[in-house]
Amino acid sequence: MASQQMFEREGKKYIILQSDVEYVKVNKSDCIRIGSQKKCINIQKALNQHKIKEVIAENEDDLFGQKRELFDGKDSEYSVVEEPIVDEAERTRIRRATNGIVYFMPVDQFRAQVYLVHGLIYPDIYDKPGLSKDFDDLQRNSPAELILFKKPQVPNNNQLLLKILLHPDEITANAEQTGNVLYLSYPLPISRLVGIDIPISAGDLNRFIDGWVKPDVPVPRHLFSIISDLLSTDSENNAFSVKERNSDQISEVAESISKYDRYLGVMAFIRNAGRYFSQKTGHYTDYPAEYFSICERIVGQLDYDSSKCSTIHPLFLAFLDIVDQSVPISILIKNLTQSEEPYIDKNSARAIATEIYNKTGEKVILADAFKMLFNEDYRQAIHLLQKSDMPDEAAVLAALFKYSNRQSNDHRTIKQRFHEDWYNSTRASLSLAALGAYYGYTAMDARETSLYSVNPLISSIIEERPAIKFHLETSFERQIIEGLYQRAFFPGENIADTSIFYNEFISKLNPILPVLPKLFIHDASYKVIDLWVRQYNITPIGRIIQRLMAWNRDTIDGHSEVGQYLFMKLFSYIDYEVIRKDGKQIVLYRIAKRKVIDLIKDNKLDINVSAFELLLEDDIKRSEQ
Amino acid sequence: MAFEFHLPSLEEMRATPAGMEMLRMIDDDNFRSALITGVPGSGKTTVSIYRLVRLYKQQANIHFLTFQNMLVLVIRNLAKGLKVPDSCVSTVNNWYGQHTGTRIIPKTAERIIADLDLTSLVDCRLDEILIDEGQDLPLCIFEAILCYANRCFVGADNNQQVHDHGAGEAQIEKLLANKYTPYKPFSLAQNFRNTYETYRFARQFIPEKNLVAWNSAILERLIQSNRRGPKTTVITYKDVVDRNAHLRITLDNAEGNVAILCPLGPLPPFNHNSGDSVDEIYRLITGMGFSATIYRNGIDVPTVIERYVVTTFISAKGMEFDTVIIPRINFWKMIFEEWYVACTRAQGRLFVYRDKNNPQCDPIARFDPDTYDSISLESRSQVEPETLF
Repeated sequence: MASQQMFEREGKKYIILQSDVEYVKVNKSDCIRIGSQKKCINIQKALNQHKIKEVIAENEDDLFGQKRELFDGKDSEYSVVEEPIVDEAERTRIRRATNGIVYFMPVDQFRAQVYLVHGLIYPDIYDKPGLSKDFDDLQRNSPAELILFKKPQVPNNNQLLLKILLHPDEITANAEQTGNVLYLSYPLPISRLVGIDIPISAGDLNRFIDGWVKPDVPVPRHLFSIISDLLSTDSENNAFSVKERNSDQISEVAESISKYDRYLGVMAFIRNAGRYFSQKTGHYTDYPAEYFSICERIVGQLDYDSSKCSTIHPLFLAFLDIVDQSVPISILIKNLTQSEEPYIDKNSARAIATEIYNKTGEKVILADAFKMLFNEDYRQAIHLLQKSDMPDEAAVLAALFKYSNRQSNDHRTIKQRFHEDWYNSTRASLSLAALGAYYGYTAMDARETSLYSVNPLISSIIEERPAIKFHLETSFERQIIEGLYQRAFFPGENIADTSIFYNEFISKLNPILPVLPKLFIHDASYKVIDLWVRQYNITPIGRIIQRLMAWNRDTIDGHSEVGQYLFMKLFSYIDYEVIRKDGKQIVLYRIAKRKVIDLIKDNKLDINVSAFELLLEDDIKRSEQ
Repeated sequence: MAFEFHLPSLEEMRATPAGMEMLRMIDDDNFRSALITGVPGSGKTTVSIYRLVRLYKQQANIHFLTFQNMLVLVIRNLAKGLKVPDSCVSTVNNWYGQHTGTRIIPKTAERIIADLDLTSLVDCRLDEILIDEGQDLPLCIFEAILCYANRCFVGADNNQQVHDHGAGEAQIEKLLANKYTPYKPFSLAQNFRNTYETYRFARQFIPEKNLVAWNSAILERLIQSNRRGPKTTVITYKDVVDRNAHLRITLDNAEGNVAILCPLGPLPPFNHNSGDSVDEIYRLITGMGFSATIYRNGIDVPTVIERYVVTTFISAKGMEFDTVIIPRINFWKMIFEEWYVACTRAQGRLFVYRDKNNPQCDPIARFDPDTYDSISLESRSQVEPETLF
């Protein structure tokens, strides 16, 4: 019986872990034969010696389905995100359709980080010249190809073992297989990374992961695991048989890498656009409205409420080469995002500004806005450029020009005052998409430095530093990455439906949903495949509480409009005294602002929301004067 | 908005000459003592801060010591974002004071040890102590405090030594290599953070006979590494009111961390011009409504640091900012080095205001006009090219 085979004994199932081990069914007690030895050993001894392993599974299908192919006989260290609950027929259909195979790559841990930074697993030759020479791993032996192994390899101290999912078709088309080694001439999207094993010598797993602190490296914590003891006993380690190979770059691949970086950049940089304005608008969403509409154009129909769809501005699609943009000024903007210059100089930007001005009716206000922009007054310019009669491309050009310096923190600083600078959400998202394409995915941080303007009513329930880059937490993310990869690397071909390929990685982990105070926050969250998208709207009552909290006073009295409005409603709570002035009786009263807020929060104060809001605005304006 | 300090990314570090070496240094814990040396801007402090962040996140008991109060503030600011507590970073004297009750450090190792032996450090040794600007610490401090840490990571550069009693690189190396082994030395090469355009402008403040600043290899390297950016903007004015109006726009549009740099700290009693003094400019810009931090010798070190920082040319040494604004470049004496230091603090944009009332004190008069973009506030129409915008 060969390695990977299963047998059943006394109601328990076992898997054979080594090729020279045989199960002798007829033997009563000692039933495991090792190599050519005459004497067999019993089950317990074989378990102790890691010759076999007991398999705890719910049914036969779990044992002989996909996993057998994936692990090639090795112990399951395969840390996939939990599977969805699907019926058995569906399960079988998926298995047959996906047929993905996991290969193994022992790589320098910095190389692994670089792959995550780029969102791409790529051969050395496509790195910037000279940058890969210091990596300490086998990949250096074959600069033009990725080296993968059918069986797990024992990584050295500074190395990690990556588990990479391949499709059988791409092995046939783009790879050369020599024994245990597979040479793949094409880069792979990071969505294929399904596990990261660290050697035992690296110590505690969490401590190891916590040491990954570079700002541009996304850390998919859930993919990490410590390599099994078993692996170190593998005698078939033929890593050192990898020979040095050719090192010619394929120009089309290099171009595709740039494209892919731009595409990923667009999707990563716009994903948080719905999080930047919650203080100003009272609306918060994990992803902006247009995001999923764009995703549908990348991967086909998504499983979500289509009412959430919004129309897509053609410029978004142009950045992703989805349609040929026929409007000339859009082409100019698109070309600008593909510039490889270190920054956009004034003359180039001015030339495009002149084109926009000429082709959109030579409006004086547009000329004034551009004049301000080129006189270093972006803030005034961007305000004018968002007026409804301005062309969308003008505002996008301004953002590109202002934040184009690659050798600076522009990709971070743009976020600091983004909520102040932009009041048109579509143009704000367009500008982010343009900058995302211009910077490219690689140059971005893995997470936001901060959200600079968060509504105080939701600040405690959302992350301080949401992800920008993909952390591979959902099947949805993997599908988007795969779709962008196919578009960048195989542009002439139809985009394959990758949903099945990645169904194995659908997360069924339910998000931890906060208990929301419904009086202040309307929850319109929804799900797209396995991605939970939070969407909150501050209610009118919530808005009033927020304004009251921000109002620079501790008490409310009869001198204010709000105080007068509340007098009769809150008579029992108010401190008042009656004084006599100029022969008249005057009632002086006041109530703590905190008390009013608490009464509203507890739903004990019946107010006309619109009227209250107006009065409050008046009072605030007056107190600010 | 608060000052934000960003650590360089993996890709930025990889692109520098000793990038991989720096990356491995950040993760290397296989030593008892290590000394990292290199010229200003080579990345010594960056490596130390990275170690601080990594080790803290890995729940190690660590402490970062430095000389500069401003640097302590900046690192604390950075560390806050990464959830490293303020208590992990301090000046040497403050750290000593926290443990012993006195900020005055004795002059012999024996006495320091006698003091520290009475503290909790005896029972609770540090996993690592990180020392920045080590060249300025007396040797006795190394001899003593290294007894209280399992590992010690020291950054030093003889060329930046400002205290006479400082041990210097050689003495530190001798001590570490002999007494605290395994010892690992690391040496970093020069690594400019400026763009080609800013450096080409800034070096003109230094006489051409200074072959270090005028080394043509520096510009070549900046071009090779694609460190390019917009040219410096020089704004010429005659009327301070015009200057102030323009300065307001510049400040409002300045991105990220912004340094407003002046040659002097306090306002001199007489013969001063608007823009010479930190105190005066601080009042001016806060009066415009910008929240700023003032920092100079003789006043208390601020506890928080805003993104607008008003400080002197000299105090800004060792730091970098996204935008640097010099409200008046003219000064009555030739302060070549200070001008150079001030301008090279700019990582992104540099704005220099040039007072036409003082042509005799105008260092930019002899500059190559091709090295900067010019804006004149007295006759803008003459300077601007004939374009629509």
